[in-house]
Order: sequence, then C-alpha cells, then structure tokens
Amino acid sequence: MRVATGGPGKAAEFWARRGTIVLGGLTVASLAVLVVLGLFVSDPDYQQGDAVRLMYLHVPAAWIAYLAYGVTSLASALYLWKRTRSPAWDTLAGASAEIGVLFTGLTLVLGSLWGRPVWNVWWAWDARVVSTAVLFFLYLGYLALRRVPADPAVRARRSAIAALAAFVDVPVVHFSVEWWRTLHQKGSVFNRELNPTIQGNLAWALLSGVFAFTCLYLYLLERRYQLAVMEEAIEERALEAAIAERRAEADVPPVRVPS
Amino acid sequence: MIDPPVVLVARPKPKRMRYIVAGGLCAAAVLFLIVGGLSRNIVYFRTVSEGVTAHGKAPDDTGRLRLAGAVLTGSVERRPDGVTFVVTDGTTRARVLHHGDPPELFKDGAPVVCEGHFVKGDRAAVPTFDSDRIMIKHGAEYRPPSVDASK
Amino acid sequence: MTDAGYVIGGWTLTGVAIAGYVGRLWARSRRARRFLPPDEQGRSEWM
Repeated sequence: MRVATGGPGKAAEFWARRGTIVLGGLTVASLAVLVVLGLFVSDPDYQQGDAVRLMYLHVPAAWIAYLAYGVTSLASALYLWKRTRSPAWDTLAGASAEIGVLFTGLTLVLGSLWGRPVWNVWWAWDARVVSTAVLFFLYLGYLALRRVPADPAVRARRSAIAALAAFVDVPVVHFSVEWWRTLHQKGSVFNRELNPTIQGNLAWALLSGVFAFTCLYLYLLERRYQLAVMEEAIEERALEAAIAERRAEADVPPVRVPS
Repeated sequence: MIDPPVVLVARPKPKRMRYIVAGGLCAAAVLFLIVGGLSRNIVYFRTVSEGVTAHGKAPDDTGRLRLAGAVLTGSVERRPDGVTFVVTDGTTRARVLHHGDPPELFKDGAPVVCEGHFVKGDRAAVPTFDSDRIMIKHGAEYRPPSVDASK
Repeated sequence: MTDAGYVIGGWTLTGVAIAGYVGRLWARSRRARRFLPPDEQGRSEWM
C-alpha cells in the first residue's frame, strides 16, 4: 500500500490513530464556540451592523484556502525533489487541494453575500475578487488534471508542476489590496503595519473562526488522505486482478506484477 | 505463448476526455477572468482629483468610470428619482447626480465609489457626474459601537 | 433582504457545505472499505 512507502505515511500513521479522534472532537467543539461567539456574543460592527458576522466565516475560509494550497505546494515540491520523492506526497497534495477548492468557493460565495449589504454589489471586478476567482479555477483545473489517466509517476510529476505554478496566484490574491486599487478593504490583521484593526469581542469571534477552521482543515485533510489511500489501493487491486485475468486467459501461470 | 502486453490492461482510459475538457474549461475561465475582467479594472477607481482633471482635459468625453471619494457632510439632497451630493477627496470636488435609491450604508462622510460618467461639456469647476451605481468602500476597521472612534 | 437574512443565509450555506463534504467523504470511505481486506482499510475512526 502506498501509505507505507515512507514520505508522510509513517508519521501520519502514528499521529492519526489518536489524532483523528482528538482532532474531530476539537473541531466540533471549536465550531460550536465559533457559532456562539460569532452569532451571539459578538457586538454588531459600528459601521456594518450585523453583516460583519459574515466576516467570521469569510476570512477563516480564505485563510484555509491559503493554507491548503500552501500544503499542496509543499507536498508537490517534496515530490519533485528526488531525495524526498514518495507517491504519498502526491496523494497529500491532491487531498489538500480538494479542500482548498471547497474553501475558495466558500470564500467567494460568502464574500458575495457579505458584499451585497455592505458594498451594495454582489460582485466587484476588482483585483482581490477576480484574483480569488482565478485561484478557484486554477485549482479546480488542477483537480481535473489529476484525474486525467496516465502513468502514476507521470501524473504525479505533472500535477506537482501544475500545483507549484498555480500557487503563484496566492501572493497575488493576498497583496492585491496593497498593489492595486480595489473596492475590497485591506487586511485587518496581516496588513502592512501588522497592526490589527479589529477590536473587542469582534476580534475574539474572528480568532475563534480561524482556529475552528484550522482544526476543521486538518481533520478533513486526514480523512481525505485516508480515502485517497484506500481508493488508490482499490485501483491497484483492480489492476492486479485484470492482469491476472489476462494471464489466465493467455494460459500463463500467474506471475507477481512488477510494481 | 506470448505474454499479453501489461500496458494494455493497465491503462483503461474511460473518462479521459471528460477531465481534459473540464481542465480546458477551467483554463478558459482563468483566461476570461484575467483578460475580460481584470485587465480593464486593475485600477478599479479614480480619485475625484484624477477624474475631474481628466474631464477638464476632455469635457466632451463621456466614457464610463468609477469615481471614489467621501460624501461631503451636509451635501446630500434626496430627490424623487434619486439623490444628489458632493463627493470629495479632500482637494477636489464633484457633484454626483445619482439615479435610484442610494445604498443602505450611504450617509454623510461615507467613502463611496460611484459608477457612471461626467455630464458632456460640463466645464464647471465642480463638474456633475451622472451615476447609476453607488458602492461603499469600507475600511478594514471593525469594532463594537461602544468603542470610541477617536481612541 | 435584511442584514440578518444574508448572515443566516451565509452561515447556513457554510454549514451545509461542510456537512455535505464530510458526508461525501464518509460515504466514499465506507464504500471503499468494502473492497479492501481489513489490513488495507486505513483508519476507520471518524471521531
């Protein structure tokens, strides 16, 4: 099985047995805290009123998109580097990217739902919004590319290169509000001055959102990775079975399939 | 008896085209967003000074643009078909004639981005801008209403 | 729509999206496990 061939497999195996359970519990608990802080404890914003409660999901979702694509890039680089090459890195890259696409999509939809009441438009053709939409389609395309059948090594290699190329858009998205004039506001936490401009219980709600979504990401990543490993094992077995069948048809005694 | 070529069995290609098409559509979407959307809007708005200066140089040009500034306090006048107000960036002013209801968060001092065009041939020092969409450009400051804005 | 409408809509949608994704992972994992011997089934703990 691919998971046992080194790379992140062994470490993941050790931590995840207990980790999944702890992480799952932590995720559910922190999401519950987020609901309480975000919908009930947090005051409405002095300008935006209750609409600010959409920020507690929109900003963490965008953070998870960055994080997920960061993990995808790191895993892709580790796959491309000969000394650390392992099919498991490729599996991890794909698993993380899928979660990234989910959260990029959420970021866009939540941003739209937030933009309508506070900007007065659902969509703005500004650098932040458009570069985020570009990010969504870049990694959706990456997921499609991963599914184009090919030799596993060829597929992993080209996926890794595509993932690293797509990652160029992440800093563009992040700095778009500094580099260009946008309707979108600048960063309120990781801004140029590193001076958070969010105060009081609003800051706690946002922080709890970031924490809860980070736990959720790690939980989903572990689950998605496990699923990918199993599906790859099924594919491998199907392949072996097909080969065995062909050999039987050809009246040749079954031979171990070279891997 | 010859061994069957392993490659033939190993590479079923049932959905190959589907994923190539999906990937191609994503690439097309990326291209459309960058070329069709972003290239024309990379400078999302002009300041009032930039807009008024450009209009002064070509008063008959009624190209669409977005004009950004703050609503001058006390300048807002409701009309049956919309609202008029003065928008300023601190140095230059323009009168905005907006058709339709202003947004919910529109008020004195609000930072706005108005979409529309300058009135053709208007050579006044404070030219009139015909707007059909007002957006509010928020800062990235969030706080409860009780916290003093002046800190 | 009021601000509350957008907020409730956004939070509901987020909940549905996350629950939907977890549900899909769970269903696919369960299906995958049926095709594999116990030693290749990976970790089955969900919580």
